[in-house]
Amino acid sequence: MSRPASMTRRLPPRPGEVLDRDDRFTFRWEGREFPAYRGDTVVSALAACGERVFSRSFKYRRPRGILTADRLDPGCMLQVEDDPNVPGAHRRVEPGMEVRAHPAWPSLRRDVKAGIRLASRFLGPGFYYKTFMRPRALWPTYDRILRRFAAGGRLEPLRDDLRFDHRFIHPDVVVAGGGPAGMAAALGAVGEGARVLLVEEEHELGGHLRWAGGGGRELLEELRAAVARTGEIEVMVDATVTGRYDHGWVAILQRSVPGVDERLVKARPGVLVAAPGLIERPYVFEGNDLPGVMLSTAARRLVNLYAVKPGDRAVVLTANPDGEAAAADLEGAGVEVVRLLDVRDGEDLRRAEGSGRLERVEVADGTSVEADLLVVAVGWTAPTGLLDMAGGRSRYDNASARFVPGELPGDVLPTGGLSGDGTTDQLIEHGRAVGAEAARRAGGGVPSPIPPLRPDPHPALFRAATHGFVDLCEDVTSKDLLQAVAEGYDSIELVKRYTTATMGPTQGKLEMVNAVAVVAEATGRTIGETGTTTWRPPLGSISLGALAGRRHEPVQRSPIDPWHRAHGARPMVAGRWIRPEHYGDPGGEARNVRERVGIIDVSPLGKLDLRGPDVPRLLELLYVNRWSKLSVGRVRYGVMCAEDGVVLDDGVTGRLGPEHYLMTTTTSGAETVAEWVESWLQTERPAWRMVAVPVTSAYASMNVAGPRSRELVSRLVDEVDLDPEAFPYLHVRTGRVAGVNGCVIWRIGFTGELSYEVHVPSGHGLHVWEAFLEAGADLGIRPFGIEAQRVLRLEKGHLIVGQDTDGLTRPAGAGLGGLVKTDKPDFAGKPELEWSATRGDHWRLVGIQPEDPDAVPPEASQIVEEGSRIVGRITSSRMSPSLGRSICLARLDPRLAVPGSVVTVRLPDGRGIEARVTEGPAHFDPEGERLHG
Amino acid sequence: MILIPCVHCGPRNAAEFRHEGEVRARPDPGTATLGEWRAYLYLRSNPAGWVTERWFHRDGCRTFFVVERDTVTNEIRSARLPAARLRLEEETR
Amino acid sequence: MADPPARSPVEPLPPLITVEGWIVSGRRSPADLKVVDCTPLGKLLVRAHRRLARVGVGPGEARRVDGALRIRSGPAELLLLGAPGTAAAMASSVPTEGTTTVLDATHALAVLRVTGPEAARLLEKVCPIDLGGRAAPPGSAFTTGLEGVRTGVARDDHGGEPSYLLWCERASGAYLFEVLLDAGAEFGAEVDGFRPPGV
Repeated sequence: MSRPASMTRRLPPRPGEVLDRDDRFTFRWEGREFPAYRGDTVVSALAACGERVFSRSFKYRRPRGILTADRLDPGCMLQVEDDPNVPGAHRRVEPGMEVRAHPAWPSLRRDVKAGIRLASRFLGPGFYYKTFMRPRALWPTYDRILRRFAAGGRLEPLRDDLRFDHRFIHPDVVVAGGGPAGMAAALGAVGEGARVLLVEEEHELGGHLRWAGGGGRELLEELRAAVARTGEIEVMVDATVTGRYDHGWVAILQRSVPGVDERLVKARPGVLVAAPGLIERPYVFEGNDLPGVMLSTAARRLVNLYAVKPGDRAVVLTANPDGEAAAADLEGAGVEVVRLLDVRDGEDLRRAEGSGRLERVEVADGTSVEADLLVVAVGWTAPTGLLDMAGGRSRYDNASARFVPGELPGDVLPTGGLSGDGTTDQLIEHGRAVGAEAARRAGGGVPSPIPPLRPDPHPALFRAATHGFVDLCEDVTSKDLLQAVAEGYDSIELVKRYTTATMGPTQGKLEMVNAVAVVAEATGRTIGETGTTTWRPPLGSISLGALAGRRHEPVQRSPIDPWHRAHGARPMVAGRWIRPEHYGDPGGEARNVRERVGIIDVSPLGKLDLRGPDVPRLLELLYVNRWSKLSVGRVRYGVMCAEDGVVLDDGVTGRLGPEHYLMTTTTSGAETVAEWVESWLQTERPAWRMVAVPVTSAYASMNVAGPRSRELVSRLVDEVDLDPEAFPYLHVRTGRVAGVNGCVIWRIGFTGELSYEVHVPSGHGLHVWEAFLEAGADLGIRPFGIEAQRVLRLEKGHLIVGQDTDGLTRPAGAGLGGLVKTDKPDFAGKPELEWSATRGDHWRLVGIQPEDPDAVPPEASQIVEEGSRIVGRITSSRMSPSLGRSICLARLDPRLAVPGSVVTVRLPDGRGIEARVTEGPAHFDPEGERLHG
Repeated sequence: MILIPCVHCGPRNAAEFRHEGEVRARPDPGTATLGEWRAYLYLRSNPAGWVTERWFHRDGCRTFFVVERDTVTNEIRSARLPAARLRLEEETR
Repeated sequence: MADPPARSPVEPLPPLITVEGWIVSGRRSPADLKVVDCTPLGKLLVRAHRRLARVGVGPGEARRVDGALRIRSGPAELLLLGAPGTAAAMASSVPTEGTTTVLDATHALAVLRVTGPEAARLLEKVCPIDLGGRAAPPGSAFTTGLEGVRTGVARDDHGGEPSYLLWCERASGAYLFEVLLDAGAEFGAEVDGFRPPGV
């Protein structure tokens, strides 16, 4: 066990530091214990102990350290416990936290300089495409080897400890960015009475005022106090506006929410104020990725926020006042600034050198300086992503050497550094004005343009005389970009896709402009002509869990569900419903229906209450068969087709009263048919006087089936004469069952047995179910599940739409051709059915029995001819408990669909078995004597 | 997510609706030729620009209505009831 | 024979009591934010072939008439929520015109209530509609998709506290109840038993 690390590079307390020095604890990094203060990020705590390398790079496995010291830092992506790809320079460290580097080959520390040099000669753009294409047979081998090199963290595939959720909010104004301008914009908008959401990516409001030192501290406290004081601004910190979508939709990813790992906030504000500040741009030169090379903002963050001394001997390259300020901050922290190179004085650097870390800086004048820290301040990128997603057209401003907002839609307003430069007071003033304007626009006011801030002139500085990394996430160098252009990929969009530049976690925010500059240089075009690639959401990484939200699957349950659960039912998901597949013995359940009496919960059956004088016209229109003469108390089976003639649904409809019908649909078709009915009534036949109300879950439905069902039902039903003469097959009655009024009783028989389907007002469903079981105890009643029902109906040859039909099956192909009444003037799908009837070449639905009674070919087995020609398919198959042999329904070529013909069914293992086409689809009681009894 | 202006409920998230696609007139099934019927079933103009399409407010008031939308910008310039319902309201006024 | 017992799709937490034939939870929660299963309420659905006129409730409104809440739940639809067992009585009070279906929806819908100062904060985690004062004031109603389930929502404040009634197809009631409790966990939401009249 190594001894614990100590904070050798921690500075004495700094005025603006975010550390709570009274709360000191330890955590583990690469298996070793490290101290930290509350407020430290993982990386700041490690840097305070002298750690400099946090990852190995994506392609070349180069050691990487701190570059930006914020969320974007490409070299600081870490594994925090089970979470891969955690931005370690942003994530606050917690006591006991287990942090590791991403699995790295070679190890984080081992120096493999030679290997890297060798590799970098080959791993240019398109390397994988060019190298691993042939021979194809070796792909699996390549795959195995390349995976060892793949970058990224370790993902735990099965985790149930993560929680995500969503929130919908409707502020008038969303301000993206909580720096001085953003806070001022929020205050300005609230001043106009708007509901305001202020979103800040870091853990605190303040932006650059937090680490820029000077008089900014007091201003920062004032602004924070003002934001808190209003009580009207909702503030989200550690949250990222990840995208702006059509019609103003804004997605915000919120971290650090109690109780959830991440929350996706969906906002539709009237106006979006974009105040993301500026991003400091890295500089491209040889060795620019060595640990010890960092941006001026990174150095100032380390010193001023985390009291970390980032080095001992520093070279500072600056092109702006911020670089000078960084040099001053470093000196104040006891870092010796050995050389200050000012670009404005014609100075530059050539390359950085060192073995695994910065050791020397070679200056453009040929001199060389020993240093362990190189700080560069060469310019800024305005993150215009949100504006561009809103339809803005950013343009390149030569004077300030950055892209600036161009024309914008009225509901997006930039402020702060994104808009331009100014003193802190000017930024705040602009923010206030923009916020107030945003509030007015959100309230429907006429836009009154706020002049943008003017960007300060800045030297255009992208690459030194040497080549270096442009994209540190994807390990793409300036040389790679030049090569891509040389190979003909001369547009920035093509270069991106060929080299993968800007496709890593930072998504272009750090590297886009440098990439554009290099491509511009290579093509001889200007940066403005070259343009950027398209900014697309998300602007920051979002876990898939956050997109999915809370783990809820909308399920529907029958009123009898508690009974099923208490009685050992095996649950089965059927569409949105949870249904009992069986109660342990599907075969026995089926036999009991044939021999005694069974009861099944069919509550999910779709039901539509239809009332009005024109209901028969609707039935005639939607069903292929005839309906006008259905008398009160009668039930008819019907088939519906879509306009292309394909079977859509089937079911029975009964006439309960002169102008009152109850339609039933399949379980899965309930919603489709309800919408189909509404669609016709609203768009094609609005004059028809009728109303359709879906009542699927208003009724608990149960089917009592078997030779003893009449006896059982008679024990519980009042007011209904069950005598077969008075209540024959395909009739419907309303009455009282087990003391419950308003029940509907149908005599129909999917199982092929004498059966009564009872629809009970749902709240009483469980009561009636239990009453049947109690009253039927001496009759041998048993509940049966879906599986037994499927077996029973298969014995009877009753088809299931969607199982025995598919997306091409017309009624004739399902044995239902006789129902189609093409002499009706109109019905859905009529022309197709007329035309298809003249062809007669469709597959037919037939009963089939394997010659081997013990062989049950799996459903979807193909029926073949001459070895491999497909001439049919098994659609349903089971072992029949009533017949003691295997039975099937199949769709079959019409040539073969004749009783007695023998066909070959190909099993999954390739064997063929013989099966014989039966007389009709029914394997059991084809005359239907039991049904009509 | 785009907003669909329901004729009854006002603008709502598109997720509340079912998109039915381009409005197409149903030919008279008594006289339609095979070609006309198949065009009704399968052919869509799919323009890059303005399209007249039907939406169903599935999770809301369950109304079918017709919207003019620019498929490039998602701008929506009108929303109305289906033509047959408008005609009916006209007649019964 | 005794009146048959009626049950909600939401399994009631003990102690169980019976209210107007409905087996409900008798639990009394001291929490500020409560989720109540109000499925025992009498419910009446009025659906007209054409637009509903002269019902005294405008689009998007929920208004108390004769002790029942009349909710204009669609252009041609009215939903009445009253005390348990009152559906038939409510039916006699609704004006009908032309082809109209008047349906006892007591068993067709699950009705839930969320009450408390944080009720809107709970709902905005699952409901895409703006519940802010201006957009959904007391007495307003709308129907939307809520975590995958078509759900009606009416703002029906209770004793000066913000309160929302939510209704959906009965079979989805248990799911919606779970969703609301889960969304409310961070605000300390608890189950409270049904107390008549409930609306």
